[in-house]
Amino acid sequence: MVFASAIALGGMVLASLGQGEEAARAIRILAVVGALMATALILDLGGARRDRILLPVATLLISLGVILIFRIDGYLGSKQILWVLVGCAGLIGTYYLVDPVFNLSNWKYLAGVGAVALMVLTVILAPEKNGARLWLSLGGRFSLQPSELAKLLMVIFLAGYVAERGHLLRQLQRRRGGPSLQYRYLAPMLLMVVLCLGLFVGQRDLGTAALFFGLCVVMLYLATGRSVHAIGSLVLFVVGIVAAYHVFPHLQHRFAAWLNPWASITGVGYQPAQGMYALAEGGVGGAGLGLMPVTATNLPVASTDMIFAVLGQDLGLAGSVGVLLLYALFTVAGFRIAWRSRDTFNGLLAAGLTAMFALQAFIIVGGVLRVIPLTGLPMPLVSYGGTSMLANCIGLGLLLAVSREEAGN
Amino acid sequence: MEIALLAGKYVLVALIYVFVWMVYRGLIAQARADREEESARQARAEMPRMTGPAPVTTPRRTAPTPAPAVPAAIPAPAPSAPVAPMPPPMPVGSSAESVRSALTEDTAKEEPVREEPHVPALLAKELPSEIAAAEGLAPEEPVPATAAESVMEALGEPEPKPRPESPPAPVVPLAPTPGPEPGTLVVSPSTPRLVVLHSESPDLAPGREFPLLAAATIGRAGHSLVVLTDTFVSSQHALIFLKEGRRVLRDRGSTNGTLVNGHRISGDHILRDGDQIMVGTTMLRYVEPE
Repeated sequence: MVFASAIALGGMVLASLGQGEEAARAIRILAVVGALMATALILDLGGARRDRILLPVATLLISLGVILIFRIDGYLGSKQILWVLVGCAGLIGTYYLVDPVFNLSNWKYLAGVGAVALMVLTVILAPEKNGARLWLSLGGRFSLQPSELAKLLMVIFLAGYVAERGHLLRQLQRRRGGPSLQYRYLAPMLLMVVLCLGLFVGQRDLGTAALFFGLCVVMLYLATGRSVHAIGSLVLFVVGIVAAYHVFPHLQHRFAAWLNPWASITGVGYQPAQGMYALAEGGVGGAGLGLMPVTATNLPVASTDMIFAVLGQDLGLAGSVGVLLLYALFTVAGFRIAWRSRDTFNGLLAAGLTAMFALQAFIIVGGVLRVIPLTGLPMPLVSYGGTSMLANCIGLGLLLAVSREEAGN
Repeated sequence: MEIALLAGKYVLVALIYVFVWMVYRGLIAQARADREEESARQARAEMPRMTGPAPVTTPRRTAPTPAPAVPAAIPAPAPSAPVAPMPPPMPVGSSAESVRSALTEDTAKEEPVREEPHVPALLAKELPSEIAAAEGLAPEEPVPATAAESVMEALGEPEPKPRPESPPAPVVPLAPTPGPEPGTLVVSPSTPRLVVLHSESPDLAPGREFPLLAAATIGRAGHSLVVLTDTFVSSQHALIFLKEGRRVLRDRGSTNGTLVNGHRISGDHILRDGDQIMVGTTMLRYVEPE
């Protein structure tokens, strides 16, 4: 499997050579591939059986992302390589430390409180950028996007809480039917969720808020196995969206840009419309890597939110569908880990992390394709973003750790 | 140069699809392996097994001729165990209900303690007639009192071995206290069991076995199936129950937790043959014979 990703990566080095840039630049992609291969080897040193699919798929996604970022902006590309290296270290650390050293289910409340604290800190300290307060400056050129880490922490918290109380939630509901008894156990979780949602909305980070809400619904459904929860939450979601639509002008603009970007092409509709242009230029086969110029003027935030549009432009429908298939495989492999896990907490953790990756990919790709309104979320493992890369790598490390555990003995 | 660029693009996309295809094949192969594993497990589960409160399937014996009886030592409740106040002529239906509620709700804190002792009693009462029928014995045949004595003797031995004076069928009384109607329990060699690996507790010699019923409680409380006299064990520490043919271990909010293979469990944990369960200072091994 790791070998397979090497084949694909060889092709990528070729393709980036074809960009008409000097050869030295293409070699830097080898750093990414090498780091991930080394990660795989280091993970194998432990000797335990683990999942053999997630890491190659992630390797391909990450290196595709690095190629695209390089092709947009060389400086960002170099930084991204650095972040991939940090992410690999995080992955290895997570894989080896998580279970024997830290039992995550003991840390669930700390994780929950940590998530909320990170968000509060951001709301207080962060300056506004692109209409959202997301970045926490760490001095110098480095900044942190706490919501990425908060997502991870919340998955840990939800999995821990639901694993501990899941059978209570389920049983009380079935046997006595009275909602009051059931919601007594649900209350701490709901409190945490509402608090976090409020903070996300306070940050005007609606993409993360939507992702977060989706995560909670997934966890609740997995814990109780009742579709009533899912449907009820969906209704709640629609109500929430309608309410938010009337409260936040920010959201009204997003909707307007979604429904008809051409009406406000010089304003809020500019970004989605340019995304559509980029996809149209790509066509079925793609315009070729690096042949069409991508700049801040013709495609804003190309390296993060709109990276899927760049992908569509360069590799066309064929390449985009390939990447979506990679996400699909990633999701299937992740849910398989969850399904095979023998421990409730580990299973829920794996399912929650997989759902996080899948939902995030859906929300941002759907946004670029104008299936749903465009909201700012990084494309997992592909987009530029240091914190996002680190958080995703840690999440990947957790998934692999769970898969190792199920193979135990 | 132009042609090389265009070709490179298509080669790249083609390679992505080749990769996707390979991963897809890998996933399919894994799914097939999973299914085979599952069917093998189910085949094992079809083997004689103890069904609990709901006697849906009768334990299928491997041979009508009595196999060498392996009377595994049945845990005797601690001397201080409040077994005596339990009313012997308990209606089976109500005890089944109590076990079910102990299983499903498992509100270890809220659940009244008195519901626990019913677990062995229920099985003792419910299983014999069914098993006797499977054995070809006359139903409702009372078990000889000597059987109870033989097991009491066997309790003192760490290595259980077949005893000549035990009844031909591997029928072993469960209730060790001499009651008006001693129940019986079949412990076939294929019954999953817990084996003591080591313990600080003096009455838990290494090698001692606890055959697992449909629902088995572990704790310091005297009415537990596996009584662990250990200050690090909570009175209602853990529960092992049968769910879809698998034994599931659940920690019941114990103070010091339950570890499986060195990992502290939270929530439910599906047991697999060879799992090492650590409760307090006692190490048990879960054995699921083929």
